[in-house]
Amino acid sequence: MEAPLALLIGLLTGVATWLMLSRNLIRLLLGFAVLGNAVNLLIFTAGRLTRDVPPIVPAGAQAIEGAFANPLPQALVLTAIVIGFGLLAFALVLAWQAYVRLGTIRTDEMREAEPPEEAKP
Amino acid sequence: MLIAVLAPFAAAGFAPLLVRLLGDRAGLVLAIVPAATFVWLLSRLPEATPGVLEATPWVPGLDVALDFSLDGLSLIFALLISGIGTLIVLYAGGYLKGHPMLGRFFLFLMMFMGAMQGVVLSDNVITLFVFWELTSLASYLLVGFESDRPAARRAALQALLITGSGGLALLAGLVMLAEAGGSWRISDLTGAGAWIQDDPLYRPILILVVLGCFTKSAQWPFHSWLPGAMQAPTPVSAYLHSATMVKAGVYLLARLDPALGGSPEWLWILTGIGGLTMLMGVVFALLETDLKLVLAWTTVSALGTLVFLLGPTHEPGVKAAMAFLLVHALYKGALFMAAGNVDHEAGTRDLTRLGGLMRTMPVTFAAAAVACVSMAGLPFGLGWVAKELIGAAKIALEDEFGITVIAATLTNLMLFCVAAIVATVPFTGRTSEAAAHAHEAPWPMLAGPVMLAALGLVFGMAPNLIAEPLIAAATTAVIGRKATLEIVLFKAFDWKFLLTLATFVAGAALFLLWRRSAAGWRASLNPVLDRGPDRGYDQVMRGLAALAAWQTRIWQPGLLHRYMAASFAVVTLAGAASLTRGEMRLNLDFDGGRLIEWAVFAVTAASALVAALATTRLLAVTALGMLGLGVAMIFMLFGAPDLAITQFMVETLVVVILALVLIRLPGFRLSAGGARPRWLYAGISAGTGALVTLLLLGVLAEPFDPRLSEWFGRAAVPEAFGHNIVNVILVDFRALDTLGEIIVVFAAALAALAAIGIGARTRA
Amino acid sequence: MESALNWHAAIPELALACLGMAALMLGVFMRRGATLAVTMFTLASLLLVAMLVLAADAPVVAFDGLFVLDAFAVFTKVLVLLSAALALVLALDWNEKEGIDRFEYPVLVLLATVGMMAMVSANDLMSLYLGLELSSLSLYVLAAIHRDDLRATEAGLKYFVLGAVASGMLLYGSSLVYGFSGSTRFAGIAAAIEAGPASLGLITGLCFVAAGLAFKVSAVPFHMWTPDVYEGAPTPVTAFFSIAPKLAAVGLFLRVMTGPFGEAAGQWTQIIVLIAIASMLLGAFAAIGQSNIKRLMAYSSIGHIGYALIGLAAGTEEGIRGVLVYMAIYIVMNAGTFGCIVAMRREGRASERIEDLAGLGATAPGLAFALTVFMFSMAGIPPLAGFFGKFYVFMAAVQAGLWPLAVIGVLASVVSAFYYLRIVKVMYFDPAQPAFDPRPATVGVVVAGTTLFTALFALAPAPLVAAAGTAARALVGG
Repeated sequence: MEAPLALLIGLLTGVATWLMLSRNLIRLLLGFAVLGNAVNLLIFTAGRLTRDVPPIVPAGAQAIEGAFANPLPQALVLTAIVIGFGLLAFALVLAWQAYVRLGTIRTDEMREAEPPEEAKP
Repeated sequence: MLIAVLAPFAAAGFAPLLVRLLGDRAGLVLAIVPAATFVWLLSRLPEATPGVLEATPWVPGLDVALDFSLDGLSLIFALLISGIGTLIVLYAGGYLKGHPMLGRFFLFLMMFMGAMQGVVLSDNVITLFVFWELTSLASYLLVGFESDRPAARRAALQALLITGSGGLALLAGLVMLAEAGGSWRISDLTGAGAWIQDDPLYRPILILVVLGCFTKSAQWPFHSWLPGAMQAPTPVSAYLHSATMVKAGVYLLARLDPALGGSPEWLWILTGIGGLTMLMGVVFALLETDLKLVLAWTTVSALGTLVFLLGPTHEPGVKAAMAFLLVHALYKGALFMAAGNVDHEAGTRDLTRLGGLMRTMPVTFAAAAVACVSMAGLPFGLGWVAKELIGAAKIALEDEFGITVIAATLTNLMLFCVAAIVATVPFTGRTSEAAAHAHEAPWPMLAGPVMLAALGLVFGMAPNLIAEPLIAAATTAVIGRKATLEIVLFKAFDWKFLLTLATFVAGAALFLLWRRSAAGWRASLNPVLDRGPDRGYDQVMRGLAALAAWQTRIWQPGLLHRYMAASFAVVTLAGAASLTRGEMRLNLDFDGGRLIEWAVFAVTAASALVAALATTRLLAVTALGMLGLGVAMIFMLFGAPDLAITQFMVETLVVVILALVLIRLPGFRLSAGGARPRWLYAGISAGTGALVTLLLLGVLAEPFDPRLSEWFGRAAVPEAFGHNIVNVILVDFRALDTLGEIIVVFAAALAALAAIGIGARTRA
Repeated sequence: MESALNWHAAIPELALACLGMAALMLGVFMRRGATLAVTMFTLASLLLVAMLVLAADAPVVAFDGLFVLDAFAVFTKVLVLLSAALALVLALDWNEKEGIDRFEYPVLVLLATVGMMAMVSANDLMSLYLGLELSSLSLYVLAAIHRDDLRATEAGLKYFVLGAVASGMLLYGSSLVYGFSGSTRFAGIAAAIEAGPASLGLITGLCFVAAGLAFKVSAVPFHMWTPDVYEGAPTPVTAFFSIAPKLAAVGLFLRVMTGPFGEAAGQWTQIIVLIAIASMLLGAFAAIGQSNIKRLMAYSSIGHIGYALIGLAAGTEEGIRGVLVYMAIYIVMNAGTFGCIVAMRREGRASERIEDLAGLGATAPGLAFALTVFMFSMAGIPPLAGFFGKFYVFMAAVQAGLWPLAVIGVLASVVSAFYYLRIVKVMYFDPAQPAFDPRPATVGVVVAGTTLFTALFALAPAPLVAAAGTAARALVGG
């Protein structure tokens, strides 16, 4: 089942890219959210998949027997999820703040630094 | 020698202070430094012929040391720098009397002096280059010294850009030279000539080095900065732009002659460009009305002559070059200072407005006249000697270069005419209005021209005073074997002598013609000639600005989506390009999926597509929620319940916060401002997605190295006493990361709070 | 598998993080004069931690191989701390005058510094990502800290969006690398590359990682945020951006490329060469038309990264040493230049147009002299410090046989000299504008110190070069 998942991750990445290329800040942020999910799945899949066996040593045993899900990517993904969430929350605040100050959520209207024409307001 | 180089720098540091303490008399004190150097150099005269070396370590790790060497060639230049330097410092004290920035002027001047000494005494290519650029820098500061005039600013910048870029070419050439010759030391390189010339890099080296030398020594087509540099105060023109700095290129060509010279390329480039410059300079001199510009163009011509003489790499040529170097420095230094006196006292240096200064400025006139004798190459001037030696050099070449003899003779002829102009026009004839109120200059401003002119006369009559110790010694250093020189003033009454006489007569005739019709020549020729490299310089500058503006428009429009598109496109293309360089196995195993897995995948994919195409907020947020849920399900299906739970919680929070924020953003439509140009962006997105898929399929085709995971499985309980391996990894094996994670979340919270706080205060 | 904890290796980071918390507390509980107190406290903390770094006995591998403290890390960390301190000093007066003297400012600088220190000591892809995020987050906020300035808001947003994309790419790349090599540890990745067959996919994964890192060092073609953010952010923040994070990112870049991917040097050298060339050329040409000095400095910094990357392209010990020397000198020059820019205030308002500098040579000779030294130095004119930086990297390139790179570098310096000199020209030769407001002593001290270093570096280049040499040996030496 790894190959189909690879296709799914590719699709998510493409969708995220498409959203992020938009000139609408909110779509851009949606893109971030999708990208975060895609990355998490990617890390997870890159560590190979194992069905149904969580990496938990049975009570009383010293080591886990047989095949079990790769624990390392799980730990990494946990970290990534939490950080991704922090970033997204901050991004939302930033977008809101930009809307309040600049009065737009269109990134192509945010050209204070490099105005389209010579004359600055 | 280190002291000889560093002393002027030290003096430079004290110069502003001295000026503050002593006022205009600071020049007298500062002149002690070059004078002492001069005397010291004279005392080293006997040692100079074999050459002496000194080394002090400097740049670590690259074998670059402060190596200095003194041989005949260095000595002749160093004597000029310190000798004329002494006179110039004295002169400048008078010329710039009471100038508010005199201190700064002396600072730059002394800095230049040290740098120039460094150039001619360095035995290390990098050290030489450092000093070389420092002279350009000092020249820039000095040319732009009277900065209230736009012409001075432009000239200063032009000079620096031309010589500075030439300098960098030189650096490249020198580094390659050092690689080819296997040493940073010039004294090693000059011994490795045959070896270097066999190197495949010989031609690039030659071209780069020559570029550096030609820009510095104002050879065609890089000459345009030198007349421009006449915007500098006259002492600077006299010192940097005739006696010393512009000769640095000549110095380096002579210095590297044993390493690079002797090849046909060397011969053709130097002789050709040198000859052209020589002729061009003197023609332009005839067309000028500004006394300083006349002198500047003859300097260009003289530099051409020197390069021209170094081309053939044989003994008579080098001897002639060394003699002419000395002659030119003496008479041109005297003439520039005399011209400065005229300018200073009469208030103009326009030839059409000057006349009759002989009566009010007799000493200046005498000095100028004597210097012109030398310049014209008349007997009893040192110029005569040089001319004889040049004649000998040319005759040695004659069979190959008939045309160069003609060029050189023409140059002589016109130079004679220019000498006549400079010596007579400002000083004789009716007293012009400007000259009426002129006075003789004060003594520090006379010492220089008089002494230099007198030296020219003395050496002209007794040339053997300098023939052996200076000219022959320098020649020895260049050609690498012992050279001797015995000068006989009048050899024989033969055809050569007749040719010389004919040159004088023709020159005199040209002068008479010039008096009558110079204005007409200027009117008809200047529009034709007055462009070339100087205009080329302007065009390059404009082109550069246009290019800069163009690229900013294209690459830096301030549009976020373009930046993003470019970034994604580049990464995707680079990744794809990297993949084409070999083969990668792919995992294309689509079998064996359970129904529930396919269902979850389908739902996730569908919600992603909906999110991409949604046009309303509600739909987009719902789709995002579904997507997150789908991902959580995938985690669950493949043995990661912890992840699934976390993902589920976080996703819920995200949806809630997103909804909250969206509610607070009234009046916007999700459909507004989509991705456009649509197909291009769709292509980029598809490409990125495809690349990721491809790579992941590649990953999945490789056997996985399970050792690390298995190690965790074995070590979790014994080492960390935990049964949930994921948790053990987080809190134990990767504790640092988790700590980092906590700090990141903390920072994010702080950041969000700060942002909100700022927003709140703004509205308050 | 190294199982030793060796947590003492991270004492400087831990200490700085704790001091950061303390600074925050101090800020929250003090009412009046909190900003000054917190800034002073932060400065002292940075100094203290720099000493801790110097006192640590390197090399140590800690936290099961997640973290490494070697001579390279020490060198880079000390410079990062120094840069942070310089930027903080520059901000003191400016922030007060602009009304953004909030105590969060020094705390955020400090947090960012913790992240950067973690970055240069990272020995694992995930630790690297964490360090990067920590520093980036703080930087995003700093960029947008000016509450009433539209440009700053916009700059913060753009910086965040593009920075997050960069992090995303880094994460993608890291996952792929992990997938191919089975390890996130640098040592593990290096072992996998050495073993061999998977290297094609691994290299493509490296493309993503390199892109993410290129973003952070603002190398072409991932430089686009730089001019907008440099111009939009408050000047002291721009000063900070242009030195500390850049240095840390370069350090990280060096470690990643030479450490885990050192065996694949043949594959990535070309990428770095292209990035270096593009950065040098863009930095040179794009700056010419600029009228805003901060924007000009943005392009200038892009160009400088191009030069520094030459040393990485060479990949040798000399090359790495060249990069380190270059960056150290760059930091000093840049801090000084921004000191001058911070001093550009007229009638209480900050001015940042180049034409505002006109006549500075007459109105403020000292400042004009300092800026002249920096401009000449940045143009690479000897004997100023900037020349030596360029010299070391060019020489490394030449010794590694990368002739074209060195030649293009030289050409680009010629073009860039044009705009550096334009500033000098404006200062000395253009008709004078009214004088700037008197500059605060703090700025004066920074400018004077950096000027002295830049002007006199040629007298004693040995200590810095020796330290950089040791650091480079730790990275690539045997």
